[in-house]
Order: sequence, then structure tokens, then C-alpha cells
Amino acid sequence: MSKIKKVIALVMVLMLVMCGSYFTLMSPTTAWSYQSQNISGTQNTFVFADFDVNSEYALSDTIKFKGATAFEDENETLFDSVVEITEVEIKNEGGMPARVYATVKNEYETKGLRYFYFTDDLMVDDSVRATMLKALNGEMTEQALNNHNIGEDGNSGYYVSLNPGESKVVKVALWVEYDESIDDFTFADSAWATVDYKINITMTATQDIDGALVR
Amino acid sequence: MKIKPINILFNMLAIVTVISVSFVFFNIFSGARGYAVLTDSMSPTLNRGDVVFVKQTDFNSLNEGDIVTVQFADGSGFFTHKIVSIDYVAGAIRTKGDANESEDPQPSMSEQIVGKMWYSIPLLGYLSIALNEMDLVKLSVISSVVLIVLISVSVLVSKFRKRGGKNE
Repeated sequence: MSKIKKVIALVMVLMLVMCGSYFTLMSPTTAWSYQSQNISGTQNTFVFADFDVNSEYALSDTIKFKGATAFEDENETLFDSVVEITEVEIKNEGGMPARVYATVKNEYETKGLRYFYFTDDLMVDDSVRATMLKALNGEMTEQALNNHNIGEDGNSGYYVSLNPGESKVVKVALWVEYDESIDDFTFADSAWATVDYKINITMTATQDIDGALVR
Repeated sequence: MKIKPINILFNMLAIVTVISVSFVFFNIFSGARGYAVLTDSMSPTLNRGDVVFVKQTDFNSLNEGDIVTVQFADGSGFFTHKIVSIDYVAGAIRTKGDANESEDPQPSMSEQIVGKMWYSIPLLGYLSIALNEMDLVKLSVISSVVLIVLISVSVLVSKFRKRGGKNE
């Protein structure tokens, strides 16, 4: 090959590399897509991949709550022994960073159900109550819980970030505010009386981008 | 006349280069911007791995059914979806992915709209997706391996040719 041809070949290769860079460095365009799964008491793993198309599973469970926060327990020292904690292992098998939100719905709209979404990173003194007190800045109100769980606009609540290939265990603490609960669950019950609540825990994985989800 | 393999390679390289460079210049000079499609939310119109080319369009000339690329309100990225309703007075659109069951949760304002889809090419976006999803270590290893292979091939060809010259 002549020297001129060699120079031309080199120039062509350089131009091809530049063309390749043009395509390689293009911005990705994505979408507000997400994947949801309702978790029952027995199915405690939520595996998701890339959020190509949103999909949902409808599973529900009945939890027997103990006589929460004991009626003679003014300081709620028994809270940690009656609170129900559902652990869910979440796995990101996709190729992009994700965040996972949790929402709990009360199927029969029975009153008094509360929940708190958290991971062990937030845990204080192995106590859910102490953890909540810290996370909610001591403001143990329904509004403060809602702000923590789903955010003021339903889109800025607590979430757990997962890199591709990563898995974590998240927890949902569930309890019933006895003074709001259904009639069956009265002050006359003992501290260990139970009441059934049909609940749906929905885990939603979305891309790790702000503004990606409204519930 | 005997055609040398090196000349065939040279001609193929020339053809590929001319096509590639023409295509890139065509897009640059026509004002189109390309985006690699990451997800299947617009399937079957757009699929993961496609490249979508968009051109800036006056907001008032947009219509329902147009596919637009929009920047997220916080500037963190882009999405490409179909317009399902337009509020020309407020300068806002509502969008939806063809494969999604519901509309996107928030409206997009006119200043967020990058442009309207002009055309798309399948598979070309995997170059960008691979780069985005590959970590720096993997990329460095692959680049090094490719470089070593290229240098080795070059050295082998050069030795082979020298030996061939001596035999002649």
C-alpha cells in the first residue's frame, strides 16, 4: 500500500472513531416507568429489572394485630413488642440505578392502621419507636408519618436506592392506633387481643430520578 | 488483474467512512439531536436500543399524537413519549408511553420540550447504552485488549509482508 493510501486509511479510521463517538456519547432518553408488586406475608422478595413497562401484582394479606400500644401503657413502652414488621428483600437485576418506595393500603378502610417504611440504616437502639421518633423529629403524628412514607406531594417520601445488581432488606412496621380502630378493638380488650386488618403492601421500583413517581 | 485483499479492505473502509460521515454531518447540519432509547415504554413505536432524532419545533405547531423528547424538570435527563393532550394557553403538554397503561404523572412545560421526533434508527443506540451501563474499569480493560490486538495484528502483517518480500 502506498504511503498516501496509508495516510488516507488512517484519516478514515480517525473519522470513523469520531462518528462512533457521536453515537456513543448521545444522551440516553428514558421514561417515567416503574414496576410494582404487592407483597403478602409469605412473598417477601421483590425482584425487578429494567422498568420497561409498568406491571402490578395484586396480593393481599390479613395481619392479626395485637392490642397495640397497650391500653394501660401510656408511654407506649410495649410498642416494640406489638408492632408487626414485614421484611422484604429487594433486588435490582436491571442495568440502571433504581429506587424503591413502599405504600400500605388498608383494603377495607378499617381505621387506625399506620405504617413506617425504613431500613436498618435508620435504626436507633433496636427500637422501631426510637427510630420513628428520630426520623419524624419527635413528631409522632399521622401527618408526619405520611410525609415520611409518601411525601407531601406523594412523590418525595422515603425510598431506598439500589445500584444494578444490588439487593437490600427493607422493613415495613405496621400497627394500629387503638383509639381510632374498629369497634371490635376496644379499650376493654386485654393488651394481647388481636384484630384482623386486610392490608396491601405495594413496593414500587422506579428509576433513580426525581419526579419519577406519583402515588 | 489480481485484486489484493488490502485494496478490498481499503475500499470497504472508504465506503463505511463516507456513509458514516455523511450521516453524522446530515444530522448536525439539519439541526437534529439524537437520543438513545433506554426503555421499552414507547414500544412498539420505539424500542430499547433505537436512536431517536428530534428537531426543535415551535410549541404551537405541536399536535396530539406527536412524539416529543422532553427534559425532566430538574434537568436530570430526558424522556421521549407521545403527546396525549396540549394546553396551548398554559404552554403545557401531557404525555404517555405507548406501552404504559397510564399517562405520565406530571405535565411538561413548553420550555422542557427539546423537540419533536423526526425519525428513528433501530439498534444504533446500543453503543450509547453500553457506554452508559459499562463501568470505567470494564471499559478500560476492553479498550486495552482491542488496542493490543490491533498492534499485534499490525506487527504480524508487517513481518509477514517483509518475509514475503524476501522470498520474492
